[in-house]
Amino acid sequence: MTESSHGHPGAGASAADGVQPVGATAEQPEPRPRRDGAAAGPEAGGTITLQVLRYRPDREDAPYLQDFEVPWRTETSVLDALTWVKDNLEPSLTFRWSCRMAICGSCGFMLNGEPKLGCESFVRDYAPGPLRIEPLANHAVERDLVVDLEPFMASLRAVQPYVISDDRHPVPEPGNRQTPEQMVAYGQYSQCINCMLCYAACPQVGLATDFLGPAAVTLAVRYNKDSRDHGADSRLPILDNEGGIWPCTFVGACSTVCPKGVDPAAAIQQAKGATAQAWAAEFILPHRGEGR
Amino acid sequence: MSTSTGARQEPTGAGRTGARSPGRMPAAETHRRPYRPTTKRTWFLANREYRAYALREVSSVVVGFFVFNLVVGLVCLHRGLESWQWWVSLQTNPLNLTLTVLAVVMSLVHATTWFQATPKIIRIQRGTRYVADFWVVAQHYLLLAVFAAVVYFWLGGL
Ligand code: SF4
Ligand code: FES
Repeated sequence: MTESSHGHPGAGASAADGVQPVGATAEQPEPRPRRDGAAAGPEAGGTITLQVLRYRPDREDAPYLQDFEVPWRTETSVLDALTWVKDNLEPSLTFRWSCRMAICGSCGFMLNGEPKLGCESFVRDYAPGPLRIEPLANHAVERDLVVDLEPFMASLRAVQPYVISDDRHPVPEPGNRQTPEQMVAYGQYSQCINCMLCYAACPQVGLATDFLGPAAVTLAVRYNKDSRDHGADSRLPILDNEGGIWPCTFVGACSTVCPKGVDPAAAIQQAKGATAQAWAAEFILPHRGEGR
Repeated sequence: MSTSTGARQEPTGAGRTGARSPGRMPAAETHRRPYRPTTKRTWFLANREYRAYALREVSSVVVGFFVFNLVVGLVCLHRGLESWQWWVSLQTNPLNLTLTVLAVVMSLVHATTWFQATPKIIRIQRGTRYVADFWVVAQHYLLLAVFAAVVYFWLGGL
């Protein structure tokens, strides 16, 4: 909390630009060239109303929206704005964050109903407001903007997200090596930061509560496509399961909201294809003709 | 909550790894009281993307009705001249005409949206790159054109 506890919400945003040193007086920084072609000019700013979902389990039975007037400037991220509220207006406001640079995956919120990372969303894009900030959809709300992560963590654990070798495929000497082609086969799926935006976007996560969900299936596919891994057989019963890949109806919203271009929708459809192939292969030649 | 939401439970596969958070307090001591939102029945109207998805799915229902009409036609053909003529006259019924026009539109929606989705399912790796989405989609239109041409000539050019 120390670095972002400046009086102004703009102070914390500069980490992503890598220009302004931490702790610099952030009241009137020099306009500097933007790298993202923002719609607002360098001197844009004003105040905006944040409608933040509050839920305090010790006091209320149901969540409600609370309004906060917050100053903003070009570089004020939504996470900065929330931090400003916490520092200046409402110390009990609870939300998760860590890296402030879209890499830790902690700061997912629903911004006007859309799942977004708070640290890479800018208040200027929601001006003049109001901006509604709610916890990630499809999850139990623990407090304010904090959701219960445990079902997600359980999904990740369930798919055995690690390289599995077995007796028939021991780790070679001098260790596992990969060609660039072998890396590309799973590279995109390894970019996930576990931000859960895809879970908030997926209606099936809300409807079929035992669905493994986009990121967990993607993680399984990521290891299945890894040349060093031989765990596809043991992941198969987890994927080919009522709560595995089959609740997916290919809405595709997971891929639209993913901040890392992981494309979980593609991974799930490919898993469906691979699972169907495995089923056909088992039908024609049970246990690969090896007996069990 | 104004968004469409629903609380999640442990996924089916979770038991396999004996998942239980080590840091969690026993139930009697916890002050946690998570609020569990529910998904609205009308979630598929909530945003553009959901609506596009709903249209893609509904399109198959309309096409289904059209196919049902054809099946009825086949049955009538089997039952004799009189019922066949009844079915033919049924085709000029305004309701049936509307269904047919709608079926054409919805088949187009269905085909184009699924063709558009195929690059997610079919990924062709060439070295360290993937074949561009455009070619995967184009190949489907090409196949459709070939298939349509074959049917056209098979029917004697109409
Ligand atoms: S797949 Fe994308 S949206 Fe889903 S958790 Fe990973 S990074 Fe986030
Ligand atoms: S704070 Fe780490 S992703 Fe936003």
